[in-house]
Amino acid sequence: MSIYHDEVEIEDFEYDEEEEMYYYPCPCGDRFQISKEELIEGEEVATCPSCSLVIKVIYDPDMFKAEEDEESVLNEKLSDLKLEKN
Amino acid sequence: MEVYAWGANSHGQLGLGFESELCMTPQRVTKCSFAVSQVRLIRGGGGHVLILDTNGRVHSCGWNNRGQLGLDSTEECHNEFKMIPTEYFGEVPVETISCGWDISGAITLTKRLYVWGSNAFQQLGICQRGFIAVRRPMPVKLPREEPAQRISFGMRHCAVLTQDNKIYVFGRLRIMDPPPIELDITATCLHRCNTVKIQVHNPNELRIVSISSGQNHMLLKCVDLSEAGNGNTKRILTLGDNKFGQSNAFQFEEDVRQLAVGWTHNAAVLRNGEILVWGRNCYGQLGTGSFTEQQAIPTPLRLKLPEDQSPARIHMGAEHGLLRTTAGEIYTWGWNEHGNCGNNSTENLSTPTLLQLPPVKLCGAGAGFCYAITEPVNGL
Repeated sequence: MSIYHDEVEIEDFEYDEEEEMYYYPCPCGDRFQISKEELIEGEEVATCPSCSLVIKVIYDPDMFKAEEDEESVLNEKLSDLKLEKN
Repeated sequence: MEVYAWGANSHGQLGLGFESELCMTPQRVTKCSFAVSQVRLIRGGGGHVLILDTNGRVHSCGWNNRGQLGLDSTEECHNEFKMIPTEYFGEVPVETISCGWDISGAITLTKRLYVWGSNAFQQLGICQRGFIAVRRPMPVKLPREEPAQRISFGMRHCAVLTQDNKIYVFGRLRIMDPPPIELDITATCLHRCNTVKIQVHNPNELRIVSISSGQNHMLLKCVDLSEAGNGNTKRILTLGDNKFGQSNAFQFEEDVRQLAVGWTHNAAVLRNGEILVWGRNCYGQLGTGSFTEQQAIPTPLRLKLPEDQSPARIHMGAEHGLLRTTAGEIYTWGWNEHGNCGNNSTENLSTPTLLQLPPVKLCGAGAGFCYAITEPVNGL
């Protein structure tokens, strides 16, 4: 028996920008969820807070890595700027 | 008369005045805004429920994160029933209601269509950025002011059957290639929103009379108008995802009386009382006596009831089933983690199992829960 209720592509999740969380409907009426942070770390299992079902998230880990790298580059630049200001 | 509800209650959708993970046995619903004797239809969504009464008024309860209760409220949940103000429907009584995952709809006696809830996938037919929730019923104008006949919601689509038997689909429904040859499917634009128009290729031979949506698929009940068909309703057509064989179409031996559609499984009740089921069966949601892990049942199997019982109506939850017999008995089967089957257990059931309740006259199901209205016992 496979442990996954389903396999779902990341594009089919709903993304909450404020919470940085991806959501997908669970048959119990709640939602499977996985955070952007978890995806960057390479996690591929989205869980539901109300039940035991889990789904596998289909995504390209490199895409999230690349985004993270970009962010860290940006952050470095920002801190450089701040240093310069000071 | 009483209203009973059981199953998942994470968003207060059982109308008990509180939220809880599960209710494994039928609970008496007391937080009602309607008269129990006047309930006409019960429809459930992912975490909310709509009730239509005989006066054409709509009552709602449960999850409201996208405004799917239609109460113009920004509360996340309402665990007690409230009536949707009649002015939202232009003071016209409502004829029928429908629920999707986080979306709701109604058609008035004047055949006007109203929708409310999530528009995250433009399933309300609004193409405007930032419009992901509509918190009160909103009228939808169909092309040439065509009257609406039926409405059906999947996880992310809204399908409307018009009175001249065309279907408009808003939101996201992937239609597999090739579509049924009997249908003409065209991409069009309605109020600047991408819409799919579906009509039969030859209206002299076939007419779509009813639609039922699953998670990502849809079943169409048709009347065969050809000379040989002589108006029979043995045919069904299907559209959408077919991972579990849920979009396999059939011509049955007898007329189809009712179609009931879960997320990825279906049931057809035929005129002779036979019940045929197909689709996904990993939780026993087909009720045919087995759990078929990862394997679906692509061709219809017979669902068996005790010999003296015949089906009145079937309601499908996401992964469970609820059946009322003509004698008012209630049977449940399938996924049971939240007490969806109401038999005081959380073990999945692979066969229809009788629930001990007074005679039931009306039922309804949502994703992980059930509702039943019982007849008065001993004059109470």
